Amino acid sequence: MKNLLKSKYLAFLFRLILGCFFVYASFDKIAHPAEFARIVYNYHFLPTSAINLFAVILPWIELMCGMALILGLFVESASLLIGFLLGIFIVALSSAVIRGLDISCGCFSTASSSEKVVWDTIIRDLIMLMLVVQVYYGYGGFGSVEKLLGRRRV
Amino acid sequence: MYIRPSFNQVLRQALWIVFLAVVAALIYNSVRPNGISLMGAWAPKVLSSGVVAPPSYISGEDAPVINLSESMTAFNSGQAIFLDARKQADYEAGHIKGALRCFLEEFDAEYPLVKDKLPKDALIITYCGGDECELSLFLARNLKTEGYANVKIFFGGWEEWVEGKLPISTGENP
Repeated sequence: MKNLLKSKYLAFLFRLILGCFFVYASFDKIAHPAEFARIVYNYHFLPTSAINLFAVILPWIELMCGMALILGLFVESASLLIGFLLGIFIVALSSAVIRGLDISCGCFSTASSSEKVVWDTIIRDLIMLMLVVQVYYGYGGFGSVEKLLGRRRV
Repeated sequence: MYIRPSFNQVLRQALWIVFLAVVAALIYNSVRPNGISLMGAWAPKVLSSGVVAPPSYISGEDAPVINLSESMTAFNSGQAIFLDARKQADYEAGHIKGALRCFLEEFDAEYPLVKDKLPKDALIITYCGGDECELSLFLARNLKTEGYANVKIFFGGWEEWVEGKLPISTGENP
């Protein structure tokens, strides 16, 4: 178990998976800020004055963290941030399901007909959270731009 | 040999990533054509009649809004057609007695099914779950586009109707 947590090959694989997920997730939200803001509003989770700011900034954090993971730059920081975001998502999604809100997830698409918030969505985020933990502990500079650049004396 | 950064370094770099993301997001949002205002108007609107409408409701432009007692009057007159904008499962679980249904998100598929029962000059009252539900508003807009002249929105919706212990029915047909 400990070997898996420390495996640099697994960390490399998970980095790419998570990175692609987050970069992909950011595209549609960056392209449609007004639609994404509406989805954030529907969660009734944030104070109304924070909704637009959140909707504008969140996808860029996803994009940058996703890129960092794919390239292998500041991987510990990016995985920490992604873990933090997943934590927020899990709390927001759970509260939506518990309150019985019938709303779009807004996870990967801002279209109103897209995926609804259900327990499956939360389980997917929990699985991603496990991958993030592995990346955080297992990353050792393997297959990274950091290594190519010779930074941090890898 | 890979030297792991200390947790402090990790935190500092994370703050840098957030900072860069915020700068990029704000710059991009200000130069792009469909950027949005950073302070959106998301608080529900309280109209002069006291009815609470969702933030996207535009007074004067959207269909007029009616409250529970006006809806009751219209219901009792037998002249109004109530149109439920929620999805089929919600409608079947319970709806205003006699209401027809047209789920907003499937409007293109569901409107033709009720079209024949909706004369263009009839008083049509749209409603949905209640509270801040917007399906009734968007359904009213779609009906306006279809040429209906006498559409009203009952934002109190199903919730207020049930609280008022008014006539309801369940199942597929009104």
